[in-house]
Amino acid sequence: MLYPKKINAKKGKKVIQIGIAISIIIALILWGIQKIFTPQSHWAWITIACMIYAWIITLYSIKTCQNIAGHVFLQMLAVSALLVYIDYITGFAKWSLNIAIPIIIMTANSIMLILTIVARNRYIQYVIYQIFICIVSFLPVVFITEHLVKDEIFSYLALGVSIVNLIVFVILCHQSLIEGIKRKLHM
Amino acid sequence: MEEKQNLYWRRLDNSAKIFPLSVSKKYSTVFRLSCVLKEKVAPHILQKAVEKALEVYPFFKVKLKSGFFWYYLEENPKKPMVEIESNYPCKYIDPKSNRQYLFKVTYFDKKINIDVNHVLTDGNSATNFFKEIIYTYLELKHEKNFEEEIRTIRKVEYTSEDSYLKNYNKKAKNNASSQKAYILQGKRIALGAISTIHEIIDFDALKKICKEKDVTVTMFLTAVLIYAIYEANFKPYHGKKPIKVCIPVNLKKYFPSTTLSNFFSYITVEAHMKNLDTFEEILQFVKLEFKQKLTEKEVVTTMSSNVKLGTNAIIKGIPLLLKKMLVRIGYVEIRKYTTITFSNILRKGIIGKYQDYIDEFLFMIAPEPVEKIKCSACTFNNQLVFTFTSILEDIQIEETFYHFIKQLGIPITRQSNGVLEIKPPRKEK
Repeated sequence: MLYPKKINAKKGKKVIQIGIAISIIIALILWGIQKIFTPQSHWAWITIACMIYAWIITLYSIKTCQNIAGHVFLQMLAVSALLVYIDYITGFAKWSLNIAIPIIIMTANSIMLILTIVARNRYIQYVIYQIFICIVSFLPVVFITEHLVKDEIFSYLALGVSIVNLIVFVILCHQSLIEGIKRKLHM
Repeated sequence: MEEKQNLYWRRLDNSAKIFPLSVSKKYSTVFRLSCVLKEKVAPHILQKAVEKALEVYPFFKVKLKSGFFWYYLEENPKKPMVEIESNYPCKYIDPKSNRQYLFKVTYFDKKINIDVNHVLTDGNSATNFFKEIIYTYLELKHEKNFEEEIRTIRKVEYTSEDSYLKNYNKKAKNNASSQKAYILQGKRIALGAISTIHEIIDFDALKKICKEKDVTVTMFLTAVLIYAIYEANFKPYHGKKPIKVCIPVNLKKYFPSTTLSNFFSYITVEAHMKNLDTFEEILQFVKLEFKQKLTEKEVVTTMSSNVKLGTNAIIKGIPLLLKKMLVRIGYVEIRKYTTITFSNILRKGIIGKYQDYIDEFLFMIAPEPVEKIKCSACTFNNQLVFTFTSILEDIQIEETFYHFIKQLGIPITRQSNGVLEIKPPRKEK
């Protein structure tokens, strides 16, 4: 065995194609639900936009081998802070906590989840960012316990996605996780 | 601050100047040397071995910095980081995730790899550094067996001079062909993956055939490569332009030099396929091309015309930012003058006792968006490993090459990195 097991080019392409197809089906279902039950709200379009964003970032990072976890973590923090600030100066209706931050957390975790499954061998040096993302992703717990949010559904959804991401990450990358912690946090 | 000012720095050699200007995720300018041991690699020992080898070769302990007109190399005070192999071979080395080093040592199972950015050095000098890592690793791993070697500290004499400037001919005229080359056609592998296929050839059997045909091994393999391109890509896509094979030449054969910096030139075998159809015709043509082009005069002329670009006062005076933009715009066009590169770094000489621990050596170069396949060869003991690194989905060239060598009666086996499926051997009817 000369090389680490890589996903065969054809199989890898198929995985991506299936993933995109599933995303399109989900998008159509969400759009249908929104049209039937909440035609006055446009929440499905926000979710679809996040899915498109997640796919662009995922495909780009696989192609260019960027430090995707670092970028995702930074964007997650920066966009969240910006939205909370906008919410605050426009009367603090708490839409940033109710909807925006949980959606950002779901998007970030979905990107990491796809990358962990598709190209997990590469991410040993980015483990530390994945850990940070997981930690920050548990913010909705604070929102719920501190009664900062009225509509808890998005916070629970974000929490669910984060837990799935954490479990998959620990199962598939536990060796990288231990090695990464040793390397980055040695005294 | 004071410490930073005292850090050693040096200019890039003439050939290396172009690399950082063009380097990107698409044009990595990285080559890889691998050594397959007979036992599993111990990562912590390998880490120590790399650090020790860097003490012998501080030349490699540098990072790339940008000046106003050119990039330069500055001493890197950080320790290098040995990692498990997780990416495709010859991928762009991101300095940020590699402690700013221009080389990267990785391991997998029994294999040790070094990926080197061409900015730093050429394949020949990188081999010396890599051998030092392997020697040191084996000495640390099997202390008792190498007690004598540990007591004798290897002294390495080298310089970092720019041997191009010392040896080029100011009056030499440009001998480059103005005709663009046939560019390999086909669909690319998705998502930036690189396929690697090693064709492991029995060296004695290959040498015997070469002797019969009165050609060198490099000439013979170049001819087989042209034949494979012709049959598997040129013909199906109705190619018209010549197949041009770029063959790097080690200039230390022509000039006495102890530099570890880049010091190579190249010859281009330009095959117009209108006049060539059979393998024998191609082989005779390649033989003639080598005879005409692999002479000191021709090699120096090619080298000198390239050096003159780097020493041109106008080019020198262009700010780095602008140079980078201009080179990036023009680089794709420049690359269109070559169909494929084939680099043979010949036999890897390893000190007797150490040979017992080594199975094989591999050498490979990064493919690019224009030169979609690159070939390399390396010999150890009685094995020549001819490697195709490719971003093309179609492996017909690799297949044709393999079956051609096989039908000559030369023992040949194949291994790949699994990105593309190698077809199982054809069943004889």
